[in-house]
Amino acid sequence: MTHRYDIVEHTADTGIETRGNTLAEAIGNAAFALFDLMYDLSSVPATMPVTFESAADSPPDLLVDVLSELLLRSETNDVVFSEFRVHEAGMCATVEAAGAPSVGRELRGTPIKAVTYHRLRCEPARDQWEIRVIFDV
Amino acid sequence: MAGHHPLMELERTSDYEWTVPRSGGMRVPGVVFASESLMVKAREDRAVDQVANVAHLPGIVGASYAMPDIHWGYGFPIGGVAATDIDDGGVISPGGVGFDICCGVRLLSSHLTGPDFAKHAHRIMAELDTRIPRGAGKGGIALRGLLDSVLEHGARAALDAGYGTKRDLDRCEERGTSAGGRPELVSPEARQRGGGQIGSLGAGNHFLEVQVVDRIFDAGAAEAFGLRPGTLTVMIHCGSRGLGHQTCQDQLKLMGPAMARHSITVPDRQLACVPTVSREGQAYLSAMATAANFAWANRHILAHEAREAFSAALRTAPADLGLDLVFDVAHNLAKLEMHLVAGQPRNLCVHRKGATRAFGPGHADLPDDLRGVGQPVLVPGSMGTASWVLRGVADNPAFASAAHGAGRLMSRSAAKQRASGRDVRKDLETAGIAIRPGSVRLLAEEAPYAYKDVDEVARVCEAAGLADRVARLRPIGVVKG
Repeated sequence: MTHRYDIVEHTADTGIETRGNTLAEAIGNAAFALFDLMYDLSSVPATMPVTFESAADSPPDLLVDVLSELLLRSETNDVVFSEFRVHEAGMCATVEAAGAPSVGRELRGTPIKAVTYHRLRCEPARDQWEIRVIFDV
Repeated sequence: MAGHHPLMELERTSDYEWTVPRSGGMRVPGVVFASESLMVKAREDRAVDQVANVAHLPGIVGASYAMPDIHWGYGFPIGGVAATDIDDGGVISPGGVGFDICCGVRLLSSHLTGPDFAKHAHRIMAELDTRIPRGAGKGGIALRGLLDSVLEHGARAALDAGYGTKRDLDRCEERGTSAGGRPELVSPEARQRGGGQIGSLGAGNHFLEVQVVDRIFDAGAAEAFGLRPGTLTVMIHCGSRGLGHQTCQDQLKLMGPAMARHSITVPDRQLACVPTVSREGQAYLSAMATAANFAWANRHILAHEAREAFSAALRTAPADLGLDLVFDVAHNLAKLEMHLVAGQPRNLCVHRKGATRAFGPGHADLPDDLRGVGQPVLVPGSMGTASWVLRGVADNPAFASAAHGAGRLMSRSAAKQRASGRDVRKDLETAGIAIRPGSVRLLAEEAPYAYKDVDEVARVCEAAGLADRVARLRPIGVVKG
């Protein structure tokens, strides 16, 4: 999949829309978008792996939890994540992400502070899962 | 989002006031203070819808207000003000404070003049460039070991650690310490994110600017604030960094289930809220105060470092530079304040999301030497444009609130399409503004043309009775986050 997300215009912040054949694939694409807005991920090798689990009561909450955890780990460990594998069953996600050090790496977009619930969308539509999320920058 | 039609029709009720009439679940009307030109963008995007959404909050009194710099935010509009009656089911909404808890502005006056800067501009900017940490991630001036005392005591902890002066506390909203700070309420994750960031600007629209007092509108107030024509000022805009962002994220996660327990529904999940007096509401207020203390200390330490930078560049003792604090104001905070509602004093929880508290003359919370003048209200511009100092006035129609900045006009991607960061830097330098960006590329997102006309915002604040103009400040050196 080469075109993994679209930018949603917002006056102050930045949003994305993406989709996937499964909830897990759609969340993986949203995770890619989160970091691709900040860095050119085509030049970020996937050399530093992490694995974590998130559980939530609903698909939108699971999406926010996974993205927030990735943002937290990125900021506290100085890493840019560029590859994502998400497995999901029963609103429990196992996330395998990998990336490279962020120190000294050029930003191409203003750093994202947080994942908002504003106009949040994560739901099945036709035969796919569709996601819209607005980030606070 | 051009062409978007707000859910609500606006009625123009005076030259500078527009009303969103009550409909659906709105408990009060919406009121936007703006001129025709400032309303153009707010009409196009979702900002007016957001004013109407905020009017659904339980316990809201008066109206859901928006300041002249209104623009589309997440949940609340930026420039949004909502007061809820805490003795009548009034709620607290973390979305009415935002992720950057206690983001705000600090202004220093000085004895130095424009020619002093011109003579030593390179050295001053080089010192600031080296000393002011900015950009994403870590790099704070203060040691991580200061975190617990900062979270509990705010700027006072920074003073005790050797930063700044006692007078700095006197000229800071809340005197630099938000009561109720409890470090144990901040999650390990928030501590991880913020621990290494005490004394750092961050990125985005945050900055440290060297400015010159360009024009005085109120000589008496300017004198009281220490602002003289032609002298230099230093303005710092930043907040609570990763600690605040994570604290808000943590609290929002708790709010969803808590809101269900209190049988509250809102039209946007980012407006999640609970009664202010509830256990969850009190826990949020304490967590917010704790993160606010980080922000007060953060700006206090950055101001100290700015003094050190000028001192090193000019080889003059900091005390001889007269870099005194004019004031420090928050523009992302909820405060418990007493206001008159229908002529009766009420205990309110006043949310200001991208809005500045603006107490008028005589308010008991103002420092003694400013009580006769009113609170300084700081309205930062956007690198190439002016910033403004206003003062609070009596009978402010929006629970003592005023604008917090120019207000964004253009999305980040639209701004990037118009010019590159290099072009923006060149334009600023051509205009005589020295620029030291954290990232040249990111300057494009923060270009002056991406913002509304800040002079118009200041003019409308005065015309709408929100705050009076005192001084216009022109940027001559920008250290950008």
